[in-house]
Amino acid sequence: MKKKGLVSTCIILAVAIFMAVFTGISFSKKRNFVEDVVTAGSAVTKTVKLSTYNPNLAGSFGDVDIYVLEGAEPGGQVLILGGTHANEPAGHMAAIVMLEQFVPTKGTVYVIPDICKSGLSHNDPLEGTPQYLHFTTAGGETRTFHFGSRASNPIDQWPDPDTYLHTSGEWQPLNLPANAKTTQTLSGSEVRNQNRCYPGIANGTLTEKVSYAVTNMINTLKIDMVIDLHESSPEYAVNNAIVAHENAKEIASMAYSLNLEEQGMKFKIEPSPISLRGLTHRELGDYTDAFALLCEVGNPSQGRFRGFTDETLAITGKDPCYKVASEIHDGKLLYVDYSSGDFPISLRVARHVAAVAALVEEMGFEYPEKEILIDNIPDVEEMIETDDLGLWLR
Amino acid sequence: MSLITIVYLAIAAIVFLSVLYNLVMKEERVVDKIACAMILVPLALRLLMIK
Repeated sequence: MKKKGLVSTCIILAVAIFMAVFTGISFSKKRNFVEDVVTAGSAVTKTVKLSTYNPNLAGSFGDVDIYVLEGAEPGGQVLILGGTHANEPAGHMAAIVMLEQFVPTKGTVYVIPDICKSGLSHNDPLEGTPQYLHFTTAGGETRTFHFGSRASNPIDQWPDPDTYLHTSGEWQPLNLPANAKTTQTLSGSEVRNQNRCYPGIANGTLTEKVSYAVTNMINTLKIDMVIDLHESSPEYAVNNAIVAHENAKEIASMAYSLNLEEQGMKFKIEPSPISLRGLTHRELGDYTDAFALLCEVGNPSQGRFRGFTDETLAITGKDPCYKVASEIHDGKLLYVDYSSGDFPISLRVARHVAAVAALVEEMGFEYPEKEILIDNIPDVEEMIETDDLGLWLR
Repeated sequence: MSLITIVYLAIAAIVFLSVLYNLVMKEERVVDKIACAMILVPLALRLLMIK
């Protein structure tokens, strides 16, 4: 060993070891943190493991709980997916609010609030995003939830390929449009995007296995409707929208015009592009008989215009940079109304709750045999006015 | 764990050991030692499959 500079080498190594231990503990805690979903006192009648529908998932990080809320009377069945993109917290939180609050009296509601649990298990430090969100309940208890990354954790599947070739694996299409492609190439990192891996591959990557389980679950249980809850940056065109597969466009249109518009909620109804593969609203409509829908709502903590990024921004949606963006170029830079200067998570979750309630109600109206009746749906207006999501958590 | 992941971990381990060797045995300027140390931290976290 050289003698010169031995002391400085030791000091620098010690600092590096300290940094590795300090950050390692933080990342490890995040990886292993378990959210406390409260089922006591809720309408959850049972939980089932997702691996029931793909045994290859058993014991893996993707083997999440399916929360089943069964009404006393048989009826339709709806599956609600939250946490597909773990950096879109309103989708994750809306699913948790629904499973803790909804009380079906007819039909069955299935909720998977953390469908991409791997994505929730890490965040994007270089984006400055927080690791957790905290909410205080009406009882004064602080509850902690993950704020994650858009993609699955590389710990679960690594390395990414240079190019991600999406295929539909062993699935045979049930409703594929005649001119649709069934394969697609994307940037390699998209192999960890849960919403590019449907209908899934039984023994593929973790992300593909999870997608396979969802598709198989819908076909096995003959679920009538699937709704995937998302958020998007305010400058993204598909925003404050319901994206509908061809088989669900009438339900989406009528749910908006007869229900959501009446409540003063503006939604765009977007058709699911037939050649954009791997997404829930595309593949779950093509490879199952469910009405496939996806809801988007604006989230300033995701967008590129945003300023300082922390937990407060994710919860309040208050960002001075977006305020400026809303005031220049006649407000055409953004696809959401940001004139109030904020877009709080209570509003974003309320929009998801309203959309799910309207879509389920409209399905029952058009197909009486698929009717689902739900009590105790949170009052959306009150949720927006109180601006405190913790009040809607158990 | 797939075969390709094991190969990548092996590559990461070789890079980690090479950088550590450079830090301890070769680099003499403090800034170069610091640069080596900054490379080691994420490599260690990946080798331990923490991040």
